[in-house]
Amino acid sequence: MTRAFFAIVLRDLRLHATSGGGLLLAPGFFALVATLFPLALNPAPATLRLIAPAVVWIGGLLAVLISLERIFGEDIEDGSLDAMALGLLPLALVALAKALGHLVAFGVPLLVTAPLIALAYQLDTATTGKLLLSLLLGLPALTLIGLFAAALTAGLKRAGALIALIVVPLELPVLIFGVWSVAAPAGGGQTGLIYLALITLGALILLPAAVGAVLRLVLE
Amino acid sequence: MLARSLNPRTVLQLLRRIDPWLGIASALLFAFGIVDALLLSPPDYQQGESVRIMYVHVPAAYLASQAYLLLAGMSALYLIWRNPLADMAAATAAPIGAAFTALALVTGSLWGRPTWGTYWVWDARLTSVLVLLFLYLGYIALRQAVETPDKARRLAAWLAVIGAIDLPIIRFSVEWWNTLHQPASLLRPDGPSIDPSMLRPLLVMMAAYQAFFLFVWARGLRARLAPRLKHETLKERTRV
Amino acid sequence: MTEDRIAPVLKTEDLAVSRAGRLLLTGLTLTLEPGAILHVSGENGIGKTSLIRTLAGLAPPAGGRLWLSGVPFMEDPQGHRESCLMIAHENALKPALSVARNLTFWAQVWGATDASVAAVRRLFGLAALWERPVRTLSQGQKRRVSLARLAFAGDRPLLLLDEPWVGLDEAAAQELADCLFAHARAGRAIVMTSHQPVPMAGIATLHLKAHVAPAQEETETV
Repeated sequence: MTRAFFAIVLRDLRLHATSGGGLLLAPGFFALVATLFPLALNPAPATLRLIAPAVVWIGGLLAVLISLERIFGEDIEDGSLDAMALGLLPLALVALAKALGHLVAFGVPLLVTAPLIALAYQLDTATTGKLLLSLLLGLPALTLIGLFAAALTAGLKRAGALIALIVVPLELPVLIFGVWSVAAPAGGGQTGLIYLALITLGALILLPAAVGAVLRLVLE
Repeated sequence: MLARSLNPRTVLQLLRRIDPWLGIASALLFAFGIVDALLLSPPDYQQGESVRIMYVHVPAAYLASQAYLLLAGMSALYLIWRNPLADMAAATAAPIGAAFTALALVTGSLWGRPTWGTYWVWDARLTSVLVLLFLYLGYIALRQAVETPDKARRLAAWLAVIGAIDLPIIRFSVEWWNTLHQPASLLRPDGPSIDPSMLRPLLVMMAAYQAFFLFVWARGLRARLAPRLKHETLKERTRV
Repeated sequence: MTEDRIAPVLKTEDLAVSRAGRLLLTGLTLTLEPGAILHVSGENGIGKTSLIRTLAGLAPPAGGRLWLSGVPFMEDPQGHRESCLMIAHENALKPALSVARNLTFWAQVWGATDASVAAVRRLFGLAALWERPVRTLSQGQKRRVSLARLAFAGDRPLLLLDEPWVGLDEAAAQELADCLFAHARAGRAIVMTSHQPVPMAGIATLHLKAHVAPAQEETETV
């Protein structure tokens, strides 16, 4: 069973790395978004530091969104998902494996790019550290929720806008706690991180099963 | 179980029978409520006459949430017991709930104007209502986008259920976000701190909206159910 | 609970198959004992693929009942799926990865032994193609790679193949036939669809024919 699980994780990693922009796609997009704001706002350094957590988190959210759009589409089209459904793993674990693969392929580059953006936004080390921690705690939740939305729209062509409409309300708490665990005054940041961790935990427990059920539905 | 053995025909009859009662109840409650809200209740010492929009806005927001819970509950029933009635109930509730949400947004915006000088404030309440509207739109859009009707219904049902689980978390996060910045809110905290002379018209309007929602929803459900039953009867008759 | 006789591998009773809300097949009753090979024929679009997917447990039956090794489908859908091996019409191969990587993946996901991965290399002439990325292969070669996954059957009693003969040259077709006979001798039951004649002697054929029935299409107003 574990062999099957990691087989899926590794294969997805390899596929993400070798297709459509590879591992640089998400961080590239992420950095691009981060570039837009200073250009559009021409902000003073204080403003830069103010908007930095929001820019990073929104950029991260969008990057995850974009990269998740086709996560199931290809597997459905070439019959891989059907064949995986006949495998040792229940679809819930297949979903979790794909989430993990996606997280490593896209989340890690995002985590690596984030400090560079923090630098560009003149954040001090302490804040950068908080930002990275919030991303570390929040990216799994973003990925799992995005995975759920991707599963719902898996059979559809050109479902980009629909995924966004579905996913953004659901991801909102992650975004809020993520940003404000960094930017909150006084002790608010600590509680924000705790809530973030709780959401990720909840997503981890609840969503793989939900995604599995949705995938079974999609395959019928 | 009840959900599985619910006879569509009896449900249809039940809906037909309560229709006039719901209609009358709505009309009466609205009549009393509007008079009470507009004329009888006092103006607010801070907001003046414009507080009266509260009597339109708050019940709308409340029903908007209630309709979503109904949507999610029916969706859960549909997923568990595959009862088509549950799905029809959900599908009927969605556009009505969305309409109430839009109404809440518009009235909330209008309420904000005289009070704060702008048509929108990013406070906890309005932001939550806005997110609720997105949840409705997502549900409706997903249902329409999926081609196979059976899949569309069940996928949308899953979205409603997960959305309903997320809704309190969304609310909580927005409230928390709000407390970080403490912008003034449109409504003083709900509950006993509201003056009783304002509480009564509010409750009457709540009841009026409730009755009206059920009235429209029951009618919508009938409109969905009746042709299906007619089709079934036709099929039965042609089966020799 | 002891049984006097071994349950048939596959049993259906009045099975109905639908796809996308449309009813395709009804009244299918069959029993496949270990070693049985069934060829399902019929024109394109008649429902052969949907039947295969229903037998695999990927799509629930629209009606009737289904047993695999004596266990009703409804009782244990996951167990049912884990007892089948399906080679679908699509090859389920990732173009960017090598033949070796693709096949090892399926061996691991389906729980096959390492020995079977070594064995599969000798099948269908794959040794020559082993390290090549799948995208450099021809259609026929890809089909052979996909079919080679039959080696991963393990102790799954039911093999389902959807149009396995399409795109195979004579040598590969012969090898497939030998392979399937070997599986049958090992006690597996095999269901394969093909709209063309099958180059295997002495197997049963189920011919699906369309009959004029009113289209039972669901319309939904949202």
